[in-house]
Amino acid sequence: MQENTKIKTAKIIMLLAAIYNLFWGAVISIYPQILLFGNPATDFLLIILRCVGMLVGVYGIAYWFASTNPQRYWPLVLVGFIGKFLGPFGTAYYIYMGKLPASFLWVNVWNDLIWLFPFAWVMYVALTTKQD
Amino acid sequence: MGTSTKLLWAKAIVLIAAIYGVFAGLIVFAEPQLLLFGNPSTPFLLIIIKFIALLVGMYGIAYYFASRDPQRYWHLILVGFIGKGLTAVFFLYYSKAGLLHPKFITLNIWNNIIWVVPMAWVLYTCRAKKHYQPVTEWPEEMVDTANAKP
Repeated sequence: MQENTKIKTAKIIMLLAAIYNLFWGAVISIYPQILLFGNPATDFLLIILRCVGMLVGVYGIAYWFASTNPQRYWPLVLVGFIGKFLGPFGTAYYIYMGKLPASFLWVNVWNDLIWLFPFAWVMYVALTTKQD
Repeated sequence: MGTSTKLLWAKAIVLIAAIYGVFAGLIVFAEPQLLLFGNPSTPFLLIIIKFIALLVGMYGIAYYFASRDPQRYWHLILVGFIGKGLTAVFFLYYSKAGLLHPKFITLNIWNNIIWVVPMAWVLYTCRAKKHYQPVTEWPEEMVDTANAKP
């Protein structure tokens, strides 16, 4: 693949991640009940979930900046990658401990696991191609 | 204050934000009960609080990169600034609505409010054109173009 094509693909991946995060963050902020998984909806829990939604959305802004120049803003991709890497481990651990329902893993599949390889590839491209 | 002094301050502020973010993230991750403030502790709630700690701690790493070159990575600082601004307003709103324990205001002050002005200053310092470091080496193709005979 040509260097330009690689960079364009990296930009598209980060743009998709940005759109996904902004959308998912907005969904959680507006309708936090979606993440309750049968847990009682207390005011405090809903506020904390809305806070999660807001932070997920803010990461979306970070990914949007990364999409404008992945070579320059690769640390943002790295931070996202670490979060997406650690998240599923935490979920798997708490499912194993019986503190989360197994269905919660679906949240990690869409939010983290499917992004791991693309983010790793974007970082590889960003660090191995020449900056304009 | 000279340009280089301003830049040093900017780097120091962002580095302190990095250390604070990682430190706060680690503490809340290890002891999520600290954020309960009298609310009933459920395993699910503690896990979600740990998730917030993870997001906060991870962004500390972004601040670390930004502290190395705030002019280059000003976007990272802008995202942090937006996050802190939004979170400050978010917790103020729910505190005012009486849905959060008053201690959340103190937490909000330390985690968000006190950072808004320094971050804004760092952004201003790093984005103001007069503070840009001069270009000492021009790209080769620009030199070639400039030297080309008509």
